[in-house]
Amino acid sequence: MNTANILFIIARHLTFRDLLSFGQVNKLFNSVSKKDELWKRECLRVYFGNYDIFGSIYKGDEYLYKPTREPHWRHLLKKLIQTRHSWLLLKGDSFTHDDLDTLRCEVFLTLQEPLLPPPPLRREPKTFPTIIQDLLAHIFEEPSQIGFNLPTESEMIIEGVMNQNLIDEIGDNVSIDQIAIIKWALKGNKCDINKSLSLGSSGNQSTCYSSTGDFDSTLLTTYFQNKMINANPLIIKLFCTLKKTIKIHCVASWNCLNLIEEATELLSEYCLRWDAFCASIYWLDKIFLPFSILINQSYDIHWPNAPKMPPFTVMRLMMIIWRRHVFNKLKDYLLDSIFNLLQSQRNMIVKECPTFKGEINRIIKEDTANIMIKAIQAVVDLSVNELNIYFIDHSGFKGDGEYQLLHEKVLKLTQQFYEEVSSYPYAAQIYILGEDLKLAQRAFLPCTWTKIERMGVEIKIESMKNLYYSEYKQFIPISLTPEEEGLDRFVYSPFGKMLFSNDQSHAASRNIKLYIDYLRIRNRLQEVMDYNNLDALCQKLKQPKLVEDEEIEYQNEQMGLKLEVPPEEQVLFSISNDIHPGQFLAIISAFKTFEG
Amino acid sequence: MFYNFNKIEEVKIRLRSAEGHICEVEESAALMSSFIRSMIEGFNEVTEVSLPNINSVVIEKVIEYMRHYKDKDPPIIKKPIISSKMEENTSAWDAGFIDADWNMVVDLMTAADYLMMIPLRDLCCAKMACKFKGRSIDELRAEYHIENEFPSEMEENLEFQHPWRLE
Repeated sequence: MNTANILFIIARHLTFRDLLSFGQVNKLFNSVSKKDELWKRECLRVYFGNYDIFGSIYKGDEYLYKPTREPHWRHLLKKLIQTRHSWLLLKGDSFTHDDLDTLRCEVFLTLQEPLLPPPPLRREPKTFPTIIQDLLAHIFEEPSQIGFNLPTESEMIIEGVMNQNLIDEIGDNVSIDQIAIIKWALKGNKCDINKSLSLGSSGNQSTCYSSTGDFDSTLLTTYFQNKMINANPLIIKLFCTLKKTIKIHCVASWNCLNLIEEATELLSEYCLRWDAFCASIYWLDKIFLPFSILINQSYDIHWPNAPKMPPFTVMRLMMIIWRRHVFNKLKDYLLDSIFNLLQSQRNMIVKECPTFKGEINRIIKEDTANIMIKAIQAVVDLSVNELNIYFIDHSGFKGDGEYQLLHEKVLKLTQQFYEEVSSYPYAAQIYILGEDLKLAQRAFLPCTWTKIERMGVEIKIESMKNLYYSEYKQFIPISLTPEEEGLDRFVYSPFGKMLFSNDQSHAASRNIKLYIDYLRIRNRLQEVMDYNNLDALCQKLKQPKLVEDEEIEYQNEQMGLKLEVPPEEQVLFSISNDIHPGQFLAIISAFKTFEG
Repeated sequence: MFYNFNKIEEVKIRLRSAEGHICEVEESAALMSSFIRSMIEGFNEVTEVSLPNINSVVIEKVIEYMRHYKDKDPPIIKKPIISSKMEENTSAWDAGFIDADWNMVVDLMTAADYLMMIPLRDLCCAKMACKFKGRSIDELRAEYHIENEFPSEMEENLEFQHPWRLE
């Protein structure tokens, strides 16, 4: 082993700070210290802790054609340290240096290795399957503090500061619209926090309208930049720094995910990281809750007549950053991986069908099904918002994000799969369609699985029609006088109508009656009743509103929520789509209440 | 019927050092070395292994390590190390074992690498890394008599590139 290799092994035992000194000793040490593997390990150690509590990673054998590139780990680590440094630059009358340091440690630790959030303890009939969906449905509701959910040191600091002088600082020294603007400035993609912080309070005010009174997007951008530049209060700087910290964490997560080429592994690791990030969201949202309430109250006081807006929360901020820096960059591969898994689940259902007597590994089937279900829920998390979350179980639910894409593609794939299934023997069809519906009900939202159910029922009816009509055509009556009593109700049932629609002859009525009598003699009237039940189910599924839907609408309308939300309101609430500050102002000005 | 409960004598492997001295070690202990294992498995009758690059003092030290971990796994050393004191990075026995002068640690590491004993090699590297932990560049250069090869402007540039000192 040569000297460079020995030095490399020694360097593997050093932290990044010691690596710096190590790399500056001489040229040999310097070249060893530049090896990317050393920085990768340090980078992963500093960014991410142990995620074992969120599950394990599963690897399959379906490789994606995905360009992967080893990220510049050293640069990524540098960014993180710079972000940590920007926390140290925060100064304000409200917080002491030690308080800010505690807060900084809490934020970084929560992102690095979050604790598992406690289960929600609410007396409500409706429960949501994920942390995010539960948080969205209960914005601003204090989590239960029974026994294990004590406030953290950071929460106590923020609450202490809130009670003392932060409210005074905001009330006396700061224009209230600066606080209000944070709701949208933080959501903007091009908000350059460094610039805002370093330029301090210089810069002049401008409005978003040109001299001619027309809407001017350039001026609008300037307007928002000036608002941020003038944003001296610590609360704004604090949120800007928090945003920067979350962003760099998300970029690091994306870098890790981008290296994965195998479909199941990608989904599995994405779900693991998303779960961990959701846990961070839960805790950080809780810590910064008093600040979020303050911002929203200031906003409501300043613009009481503005259209209904989503509240500013750290959860919203974190979800948007994750969506922008991780999900959007990977969504095509994630969706493809979900479709791959769905396809393989269906192949396994066909294989294990008693008609085909194939053998499958049930453990693998269950594991991959669970990964697929988790991944679908992760897509749902980013396709709902505070308005539509209450309608998530409605069969007419329209998510406003990638779930729509997933829904359409799944229906297309299901159509193809069911066409293939329709060529199988009838017993196999019944088994496969039944199992597939069970899988769909576990994995998808009711808006998707109700359509799949309908498709399945239609396929079954079609197959039954073919089956009975071909039997009817070959049927030779054994008696010329059918049993009259009780047969009419079958002749004029959907089963009889189906035969009538295929046989237009004069003797059709008599022949159908004889055929049904033949079925009666053979104890097969149950099959006729099954067909009629299936037809009734199909008719029911074709109805626009199910009983469950009406119940959901009835419950939510009492709270002022509607399934069909006006587009401008939907835009404001959307987590899936970015809204430029210009769009926001245009909506506000449409209400003629904006005082810009 | 009587059983013989006397312990069966274990096969011993003879390790020949660079000076030609023979050091004996039990086969079960010697198998910790992948190099010796491959020799034994490759040639069934092998009982002597020549180690021309390793002196007898170092071989004795290696045998001490082999005997200690004959029936158990060596502890895993955390990476990165958390302290410049070995007692805080690994077990007390390991820390005491590796508490030797620099030349001995280097020789031991070379021997561990030759004998393909990864846990011992990692222990030596961790001991060496302790010498780097928390030390300034000037201290390191002075201790190991390393000349500064960087021109002054390049050295400034190196410092400027690294924001780590900010923390």
